[in-house]
Amino acid sequence: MTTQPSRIRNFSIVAHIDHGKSTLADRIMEATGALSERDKADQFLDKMEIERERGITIKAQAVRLRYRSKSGEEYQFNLIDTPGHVDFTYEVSRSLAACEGALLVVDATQGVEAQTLANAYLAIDNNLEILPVFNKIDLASADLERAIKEVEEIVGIDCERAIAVSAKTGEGVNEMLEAIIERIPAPQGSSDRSLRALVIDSWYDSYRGAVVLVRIVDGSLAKGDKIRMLATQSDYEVTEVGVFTPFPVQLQRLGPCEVGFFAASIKSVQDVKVGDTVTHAKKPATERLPGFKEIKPMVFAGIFPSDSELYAGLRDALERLHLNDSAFRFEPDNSKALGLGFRCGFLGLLHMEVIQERLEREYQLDLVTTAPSVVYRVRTTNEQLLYVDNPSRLPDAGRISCVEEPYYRVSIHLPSAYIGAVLKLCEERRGTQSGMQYASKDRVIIVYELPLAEVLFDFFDALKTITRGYASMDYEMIGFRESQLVRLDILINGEPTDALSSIVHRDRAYQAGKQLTSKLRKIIPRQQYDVAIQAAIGSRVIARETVKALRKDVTAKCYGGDITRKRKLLEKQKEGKKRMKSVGSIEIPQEAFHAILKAEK
Amino acid sequence: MAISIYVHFPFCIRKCPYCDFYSVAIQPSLIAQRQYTDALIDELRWRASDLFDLPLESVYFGGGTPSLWDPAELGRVLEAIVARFSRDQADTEVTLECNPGSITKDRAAAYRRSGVNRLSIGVQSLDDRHLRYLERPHDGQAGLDAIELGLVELGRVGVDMIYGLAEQTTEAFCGELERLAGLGVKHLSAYSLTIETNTPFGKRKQKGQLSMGREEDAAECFLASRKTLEALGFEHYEVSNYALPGEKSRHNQHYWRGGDYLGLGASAVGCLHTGMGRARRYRNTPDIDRYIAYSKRAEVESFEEQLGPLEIINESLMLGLRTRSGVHLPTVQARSGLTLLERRDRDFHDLLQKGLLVKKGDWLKIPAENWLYLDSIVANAFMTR
Repeated sequence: MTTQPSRIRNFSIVAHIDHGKSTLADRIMEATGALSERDKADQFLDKMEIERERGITIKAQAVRLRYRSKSGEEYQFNLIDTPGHVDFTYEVSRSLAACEGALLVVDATQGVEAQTLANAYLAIDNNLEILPVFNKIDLASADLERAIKEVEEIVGIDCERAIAVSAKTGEGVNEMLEAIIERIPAPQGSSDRSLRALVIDSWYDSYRGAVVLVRIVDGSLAKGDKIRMLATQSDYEVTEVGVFTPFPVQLQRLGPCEVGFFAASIKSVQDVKVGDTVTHAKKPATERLPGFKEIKPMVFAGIFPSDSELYAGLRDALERLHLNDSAFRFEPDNSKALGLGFRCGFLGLLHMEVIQERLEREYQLDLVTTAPSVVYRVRTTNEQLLYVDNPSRLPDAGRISCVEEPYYRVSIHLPSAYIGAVLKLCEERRGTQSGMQYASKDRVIIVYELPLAEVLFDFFDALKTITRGYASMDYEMIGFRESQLVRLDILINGEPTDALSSIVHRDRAYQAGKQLTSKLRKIIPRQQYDVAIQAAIGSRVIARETVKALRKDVTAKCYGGDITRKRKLLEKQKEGKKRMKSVGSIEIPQEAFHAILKAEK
Repeated sequence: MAISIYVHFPFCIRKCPYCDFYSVAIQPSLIAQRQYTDALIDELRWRASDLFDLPLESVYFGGGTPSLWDPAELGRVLEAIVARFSRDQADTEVTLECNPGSITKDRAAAYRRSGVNRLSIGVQSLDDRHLRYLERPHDGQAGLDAIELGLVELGRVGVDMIYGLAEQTTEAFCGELERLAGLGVKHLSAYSLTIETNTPFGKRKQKGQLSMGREEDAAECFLASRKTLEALGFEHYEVSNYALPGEKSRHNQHYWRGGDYLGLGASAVGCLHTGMGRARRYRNTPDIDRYIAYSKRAEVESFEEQLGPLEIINESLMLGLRTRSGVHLPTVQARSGLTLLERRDRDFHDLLQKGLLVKKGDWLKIPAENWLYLDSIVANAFMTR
C-alpha cells in the first residue's frame, strides 16, 4: 500500500548550528507518536558519537511519520534531516531537492546567522516553500519581534504567518504540524511513468551492502525490481525496500513521492552517487533528474601511521571508512620523510577532522597527519594541466607557466563594532571585498573572495577571536584563479623534508619562511646534535634556524622525596615520543607538520 | 629485604636560592626542638607499630639543616628507632647532613655519641665567589674546617659539590675534587646545578636575570670529574656519586634499588611495598604546626599514591639505571610481578640493540659512557599501558 501524493508532505529542517534543529526533530517525532519516552535519546537523528558530540549531522536521514490532522485525515510526513555543515553543501542541496518545503528554524534569542541565510538560500534555490519557525521562545532572552524583523529584512521571507515554538517545552509544535499540511505543497508525481528516484544519500551495512536513501519522483520501486543507476550505468536487483519510522521497517514497495531506502547487493557506497537517478533496467526513464554533480574533495592531507608496522591496520581502517563515505578519497602515498601512508581527500576541514578523529578513536591508531592543502591547478610550460594536491609535488618553478588556486566567496555576519578588525583580517588573507551590507542597525554582512588556502589556515579561529565569538561565516567555491604562488621547502639538516613543504604567496614567502623555521625551532625538541632548519624556495635558502644540541640530559639528583615527580616527567617524555616521527635520525613531533597552519600572519 | 628510614628536619638558618627541599628559615634559638622531636617519635611509633620486623639498613637525617638539631634531641629519635628495629649497631649506616658553619667539633662528637656514624657535608664549593653566587651561609675555609673535624670525629664523611656554575672552569672544579680527595674524603657527590622553577633561582631564570653556566661546559665537567676521580681510585657508582671501595652511601643505594623506606617528619616521603605489584607512597604535611598536631595519626599525610606494577617497574628503571650496577632483574620481577625482558615494545628492544641498555646476567644497566643522556634512555625504556 502506498500513500497517494496528496496525503504526503516531504520537508526538511534547516537552521544555523545550535539553533535547535535536532531537538525540534525529536519533538516532531514525539508529537506524531514515532518516538516513545522509552526510545528517546536526545537528538535521535544524529547517530554517530562524533556527530552527537559536535552537534552536527554528517549523513542525511529520513523518517516517515504518520500524522492525523485536526480535520481527521491521515498524512505521511517524510522528515529529511540534512547534514548541517558547509563542507556538505552539495549533499544538503540533494536532500532539499527531495522536499517540497522546509522549516527554517531561527533561534529567537539569536536571530539570523550566517548559516541561516546560506541554508535559506539553498532552500529557495530548490524552490521550496519556506516556513519560518522561531524557536526557544521559552527563554527569557528570546526577542521574537527582532528575530522576525531580521528574517524579513535579511533573508527576505514574509513572516506574517511566523510560527513560534519551543522545541524544549513542545509549545507551538502542534500548530507547526498543521502549518506543514496547509502550507507545504503536496508533491507531484505519477505512478504511470517510468521509475525515477533521486539518490539522497547512502551508507554501508555489513549485511546488505550499500543502503540507498531515495525520494521516488515517478513510478514505484519494489523488492525484486531490476534497477539501473543512470550516472554509473550499473544494474542491480533490489533485495529490500523500506522506511525508517525511525526504526527500519521493510515494505513491499515505495510509491510515487515517497521517501525510503532500498538495498540491492551494492558492494560499496562509492558505486552510489548522491544526486543520481535510479530507474528500472527494463523500462528506463530517458531523462535524468536535474542537479547531479560529481563531488570532488577540496582539502587534502597525508595520513601516516606513527609506526610503519601499523600501515596495514591504517589501510584497513581507511577502507572501512571509505565504504560508508563516498566523499572521502584515499590513495597510497610515499613520503620521503614519513614513509608509507595515504594521501586523503576531504570535502573540507570538518570532514577531515571527523575522519581523523574516527581513525584515532574507533580504530585506535596513532597517526601523524600533515597540514591540509588545497588542490592547485598548474599549467606547465609544455601546456599540460595538472591538479596538485600535495605541495611537495608542485613542479619546479622552471616548468610552471601558471598556478591557479581555488577561491571561495566567504560571507561573514558580524556586529558592526568589529568591522575594522574583520576587514583587516580578510585583507591580510589576500581577500578581495565584493560586498558589504547592513543587515540591521548593528549587524553587517561582509562578503569577501578569498583563496581557500587562506580560509583553511585557522581563519575561522582568528575570526572568532577578533569578534569575541560574535561572527559567523559561510562560504562557497567560486572557481580557480591565478596567483603568484611558490613552493616553500623545509630542509632539516640539509635534507628536504617533503611533508613540511607548503605553497605560499610569493610576496609573503620570506615572512612565511622565517616564521615557519622559528616555529619549528620551538617545536622540534633538542637532540644529541645540532639540527639545522632551513626554509628554501627552489635552491635559494631564505631562512635558517638551529635547534642547539642537547649536551646533557640527566637528572642530577634522584632520592626518596622526589621519585613520583621525576617518574611523571619521564612518563610525559615517553608519551610525547609516541607522537613523534623519526625523519632520518631526527625526532619530529606531530605538531611540526601543522606549524604552517599556526604561523602568525 | 631491609628497610631504611629518612628523617626530615625542616629548618635552616637561611634558604639557599637553588634548593627546592622543604624547609623554613628560622633563627636557631627559636626552633621548637623538643616539640618537633616528640612529634617525630610519635610518628615513628604508629608508623612502625604494624610493620614487619625488617632489618634496618640505614637512617638518614636530612633537611633542611639537621645539624641545627640539638644532638641530645636527635639522640632521642635514634634511641626510639633502635628500640623498635632489630639493629646491629655496627651494621646500620646513620648519616647526618650538615652545613659548614653549623657543625663544630663538640657538636660532631655529640652526634657521634648519639649514634651518628657518617656525615654528609654540603661544602658545594671551595671558591668564595661561587659560594656567594649560591648564597651559602659559609665560606670555603669553613667547608675545609667542617671536613677536617668530621674526619676526626666520625671518620666517614661524604662531601657534596656543585658544578655548572657561571664562570666556573672544569679545571678549577676538578682541582677542588682532587684537593678534597687529598684531605681523606672517601665519598664525593658532584651535582650539576639544577634550576627548579619553584625556587628563587628559577624565578630569576624566568625573568632572564640569572647568570648561568653553559650546558656544554657542564657536560664537559661531568666527564672530567669522572676522569679525575677514577684516576684517584673512586668508583663512579651513580650519576652524581663517587666513592672509594667500601665507602658508598648505603642509604642512597637503598633508594636506587627500590627498597622500602619510612619517611618521618614534616614533608618527609615514605614508600612501602604492600604486596606483589603494589606499593604505597605518602608525603607528610609540610606545615610544621600541623605536623606537630597530627603526628600521631594518618591525617599527618598530605599526599598518597598507590603504585601498581607499571609504576614499580618504571621507578625501578629510573632509579636503578642511574647506578653502575644497574637494575637487578629478579628483584624487580618479585616486586612488580612483571617480567621486564619479555616486553615486546620496540623502543625497549631498540635500546638493547643499540647498546644503550645492556643486560649482563641478572642485571640491566646503562653503560656509564651514555650517562650524559640517561634521562632520554630511561624514558624510552619506560613501559606504557
